[in-house]
Amino acid sequence: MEWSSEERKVVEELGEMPTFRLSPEKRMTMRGAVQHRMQQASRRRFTLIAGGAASVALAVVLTVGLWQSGSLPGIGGGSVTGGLGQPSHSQEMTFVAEFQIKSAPGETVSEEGLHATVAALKKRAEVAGLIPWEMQTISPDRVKIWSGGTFDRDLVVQMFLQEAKIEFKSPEGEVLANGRDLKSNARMMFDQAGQRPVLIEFKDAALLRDITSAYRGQQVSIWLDGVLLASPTIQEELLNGQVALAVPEPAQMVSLINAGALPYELEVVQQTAQ
Amino acid sequence: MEWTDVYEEHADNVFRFLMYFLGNREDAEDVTQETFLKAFHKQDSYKQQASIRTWLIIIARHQAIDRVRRKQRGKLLHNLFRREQPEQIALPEEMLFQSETKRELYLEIQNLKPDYRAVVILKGIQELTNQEVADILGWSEGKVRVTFHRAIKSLGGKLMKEAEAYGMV
Repeated sequence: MEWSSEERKVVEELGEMPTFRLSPEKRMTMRGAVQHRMQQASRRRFTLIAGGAASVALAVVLTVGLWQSGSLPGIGGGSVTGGLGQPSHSQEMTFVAEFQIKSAPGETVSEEGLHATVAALKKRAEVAGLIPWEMQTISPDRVKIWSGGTFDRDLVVQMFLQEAKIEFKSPEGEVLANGRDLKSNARMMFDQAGQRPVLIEFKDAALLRDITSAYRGQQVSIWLDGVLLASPTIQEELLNGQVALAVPEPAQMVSLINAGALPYELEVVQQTAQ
Repeated sequence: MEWTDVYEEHADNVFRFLMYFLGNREDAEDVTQETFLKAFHKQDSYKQQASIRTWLIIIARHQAIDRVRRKQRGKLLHNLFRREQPEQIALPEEMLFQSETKRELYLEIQNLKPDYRAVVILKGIQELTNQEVADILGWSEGKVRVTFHRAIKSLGGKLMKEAEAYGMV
């Protein structure tokens, strides 16, 4: 096919058009979102299978039980009513829950503490796939949330209650720092070896400097809700407040750090999902 | 197939296609994400005969067309109640330092009809083979060649008109 000179110029220019790239931040958040939805989907599949298995087991137990008691139709003449099928766990639901904020004995929940809790709950609702419609402070230590979406009820409640308590411990097991010492700007990095270390930043660079100089050459440990995540050996004193950690689930670690630890322990007072 | 690896490898390529197809960063980012979610849910329907790259672009293009349709529906409703200035296409910042011709081209690509736009991006900018473009658009290779030719003609004509209007010819 013949091109005119004008058309040839267009083709040439097209071949040299700039290539767009996702910004590193967008790339990261998007990756997190995609990964999160995938995990949700595979978990959903898992609960469905587990639910299915449970109802089969239940059916077997009931059948055996009924047969033994002689009340199965055709044996004893009685009839079986009521469904055996377990409802599916993950579906479009409306979710209402009321949380009691538990302060330490003799202490009251501060106003900032309440704000932080509300913010943390809101963030967690989003992470769990809920869209918060409304949140209301019923009393200074009670918060109610209305929300909805497609979700697994048990998973959501668990998500709300997970403390996301991150702790740095000395070789002797003494707590050196916790989640509240961290900025909520954790992110995943890419290193040459194809690893995805998590870069976290301390609010106070001096704290990390003190820890790394005091424990240089020793092994410290990092825990999430009492589970050991990593036990790196400190190679050198870190001055700028930043530290990169290789952990088993980097994406999850990032969202947990950034969603923030709950400032107080919570208790579910009332919860409905339908 | 490790999904996060698929994302790492192809995210930029999908995004690039969408930046040209949709003409703005916000939509391109959203649809890139939708594409990977959709691909994940549809992975059972992935046939090995197409490359993952091709398959992702097929999904991205459908998602993009859907989005444009939804947007237009919303706009239609909106315009019933209020007359507004037609929306200006803003140039993405990457285009700001490009030559006048390239900037013009970027805007003119947005004004092409969707089939022309797709073939110009895939064959002209991303430089895929006729076979690959045919796979993505579900056309014959002949149709790819012909449509590409027409699209380029149309772009060439528009650039000429533009140049004349500014007294550069």
